[in-house]
Amino acid sequence: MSTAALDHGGHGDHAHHEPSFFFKYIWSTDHKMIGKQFMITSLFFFLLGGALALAVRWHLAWPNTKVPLYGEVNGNEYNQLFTMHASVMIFMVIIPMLAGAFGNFVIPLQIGARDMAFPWLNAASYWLMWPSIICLVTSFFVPGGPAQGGWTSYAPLSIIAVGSRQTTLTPTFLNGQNLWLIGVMIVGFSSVFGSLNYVVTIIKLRAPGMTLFRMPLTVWSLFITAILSLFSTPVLTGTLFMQLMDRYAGTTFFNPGNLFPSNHEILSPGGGQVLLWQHLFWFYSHPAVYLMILPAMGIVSDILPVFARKPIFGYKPMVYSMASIAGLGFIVWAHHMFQSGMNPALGMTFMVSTMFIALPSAIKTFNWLGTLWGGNITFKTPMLFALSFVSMFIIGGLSGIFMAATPVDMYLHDTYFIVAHIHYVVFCGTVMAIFGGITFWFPKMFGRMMNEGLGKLHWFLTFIFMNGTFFMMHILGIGGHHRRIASVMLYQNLWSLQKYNVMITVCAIALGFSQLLFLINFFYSMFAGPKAEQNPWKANTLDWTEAPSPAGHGNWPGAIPTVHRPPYEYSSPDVKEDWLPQSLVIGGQGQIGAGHQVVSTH
Amino acid sequence: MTQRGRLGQPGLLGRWSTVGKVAALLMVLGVVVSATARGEELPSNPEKYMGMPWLPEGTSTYADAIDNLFYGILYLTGGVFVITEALLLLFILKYRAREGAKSIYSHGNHKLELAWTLIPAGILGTIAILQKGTWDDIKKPEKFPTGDKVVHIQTFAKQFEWNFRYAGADGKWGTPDDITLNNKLVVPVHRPIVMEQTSLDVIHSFFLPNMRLKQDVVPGMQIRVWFEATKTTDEMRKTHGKYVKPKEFLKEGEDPAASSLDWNYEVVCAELCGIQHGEMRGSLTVLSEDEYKAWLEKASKDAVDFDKPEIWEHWKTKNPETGDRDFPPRKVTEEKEGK
Repeated sequence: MSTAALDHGGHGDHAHHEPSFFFKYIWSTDHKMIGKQFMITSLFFFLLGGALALAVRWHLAWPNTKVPLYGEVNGNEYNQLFTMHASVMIFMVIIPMLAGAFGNFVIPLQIGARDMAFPWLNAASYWLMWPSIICLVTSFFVPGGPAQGGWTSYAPLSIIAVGSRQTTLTPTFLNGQNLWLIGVMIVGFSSVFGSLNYVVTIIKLRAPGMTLFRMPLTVWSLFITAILSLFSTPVLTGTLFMQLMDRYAGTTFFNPGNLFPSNHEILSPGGGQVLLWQHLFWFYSHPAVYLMILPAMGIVSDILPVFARKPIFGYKPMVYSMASIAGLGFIVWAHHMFQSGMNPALGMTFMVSTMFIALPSAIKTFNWLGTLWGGNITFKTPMLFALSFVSMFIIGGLSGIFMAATPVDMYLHDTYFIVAHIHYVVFCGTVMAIFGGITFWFPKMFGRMMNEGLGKLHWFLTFIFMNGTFFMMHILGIGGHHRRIASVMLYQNLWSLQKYNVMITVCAIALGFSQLLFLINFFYSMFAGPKAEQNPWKANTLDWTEAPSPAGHGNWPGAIPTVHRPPYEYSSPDVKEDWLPQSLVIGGQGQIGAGHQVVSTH
Repeated sequence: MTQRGRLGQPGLLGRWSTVGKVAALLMVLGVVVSATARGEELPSNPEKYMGMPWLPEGTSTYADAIDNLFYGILYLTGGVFVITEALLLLFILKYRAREGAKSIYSHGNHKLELAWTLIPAGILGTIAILQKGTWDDIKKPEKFPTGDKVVHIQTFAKQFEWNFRYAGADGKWGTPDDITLNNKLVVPVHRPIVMEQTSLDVIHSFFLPNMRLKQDVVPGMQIRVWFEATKTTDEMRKTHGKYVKPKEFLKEGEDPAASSLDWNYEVVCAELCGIQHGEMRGSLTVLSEDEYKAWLEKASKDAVDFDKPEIWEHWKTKNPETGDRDFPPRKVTEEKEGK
């Protein structure tokens, strides 16, 4: 039996232990509240990032007109718009949403812990996002505007950009690029704090009986992601700091010298290496791509069995394939650099490792199909999103093989084909899983159900318009439309592609407005949705079977539950029902740690 | 005890609503695709494929090898795509919830796992091996073409223009007849062109869509690339129509027919290089051997002597009118032409 110190679950019942508003909603150390904080912050920035993308799309479709609510866009502002779109979406939306929101909310509930191992560090990890947010948001208002070197921030373009000490232009500290570097550096700390917490929590705080191979796949994916992030994020932090020093202190890590940009002189003596930035940056940012997809895979692997009423197909291959994605993820970074001027012999090496990282993804896809095979599938909103994830991830995965082939990459590199590929993975894949995850865990978070009709309408419109937006980008890329150009007006060879640009923009605008349905549903249901049962989906994992909806302080009303079996025992022949909770004891001894549970008909 | 093998009741429209939704989805996608396919026909570059824009015609010696790989991967991934999506759809329709039904209790199948690990591994490994030759032929410096037929050109990329330098009619570098072209590349057909490229400021990327060539041009590095054109610009113009300006770009009252342009090979910067990245482009002219010789003679005669130090001195100072450094130094060029 757990000690009295650990076992403080009952405290939530007493009114005098209710924390004040400040400690409940602002500096909360409760993992569930921190998860919700991450989620709502990310949703807000999802709107901002989306608006930036729409401005980009508007300019591409109708370059001679003003962007509504924004005005005229010149080349510089265009670069700022897409740079900030990507930065906001990656660093403020996808990573905080997956690791921050789902990581915090789901991990302790699914492994049977009362909270994270380091609750205070956890709160710090959320609040560290704010300095970073302030940096990125302020950068819109400093002279020269926000960062404009792309989210990859390639040197030396980013080093000689506005405000740098390496040029004869007036140096300033408060400029877009510096603020971008500092902002991303701080969000890196947030992510390291979070990851550290997840790893320790998962290793040390699992409930009795919760062996590693009884953990739900969401927890596995977040565990692997956290390890990945712990190894790669410090590299990014160091790299960003090097660029900041190049810009502010006059070091020349990435500046080869003898540069003659068109509108100013370069002061530095040089001696740096341009390709070094790309190697270091992609050493983090390639694993970061897996940071952005692995938890989504985990969430989908949790949703599919629940709504197919079937055990996940190949649990261990699922775990091993995630682990191998994480391992291989560290040796494929240079596939972003096939045309960068690195030794062509390296191209072969990284091409082979890239081909083989497609393998675990293929294994996962086949296993998801296997999970659906012979199931008894109901189509609630979370399931619709999870199924869209699988079907869209197939496209995003397969299109990657084109670029992995180095000669084909020679043509497709830096075209819209790449833009289509990343958006199929991150929007049509990860964002679908995020919507699936939010609609799935919403009852546990807020104790209320989301509106099913509105949810399905949102899914339907999103599914149609995201394909309308991103699929044609493949075709644009094949037609030779290179990326990051403000319009094809000057390129006669791309003029015939313009009508597809217009079509994509129309779909993108519709896609953007469809997301409002989700926000309405989210906030309306949070306050006025019908009350949720403890386990509305009849799922097996501890978060549903043992914790009330919404879960109180300390998660478990009684003692910490004990785990007796793997997480996906649906339609087991041992019981009449088609679900068999992880914590349930069969064989007449009654139940341990779930005395008040609804699961009592066995 | 009642059977609780289902999650809730069928949706508002009953079980078939799922099928209906999928059908509606396919219909909408079909409408979208056919609507785009029936768009106004513009002269084609890129080429058309089922009404969609497609790969521009490949006109270098290695373009076919690259395109074959592209199509190989396209058919392969297309096949995998159709099979997996069809299975997904089949399972969704076939195994949708039924009253009293219970799922198959299965945790996986070891042989299946092995099969769908080893077969894709074999396929991916095969692709990896198949492409190696093409990649090496194009990018490995030791495999570059050599001999008398090779034309050597130097590239100096800068924000936001391409500058190309030729050894001139005498074939020697550093002589007064060296030619420097701004945003214009002229090459003979059926001769290997070896280019040594560097950048004067930031990273640019040298992209010839028709040649299927792309290579970043990096400051502080000398990177060599090669290509051999198989069709002259004139030959291409015979099979490609004029470019017609799309209506989004027309100014008020502008006639699309009047603003149409002749077909041309493009030289594109494919890597973000600053404010006017989208405007950094040049043209490539592929001439027949005779035309090229004539052009080279004439251009060498008109060339500016870049070895004169005062020209470089001039280049280092800014143009008072534009605030930019002119490269090549236009003022000197004009003076020489004036004489």
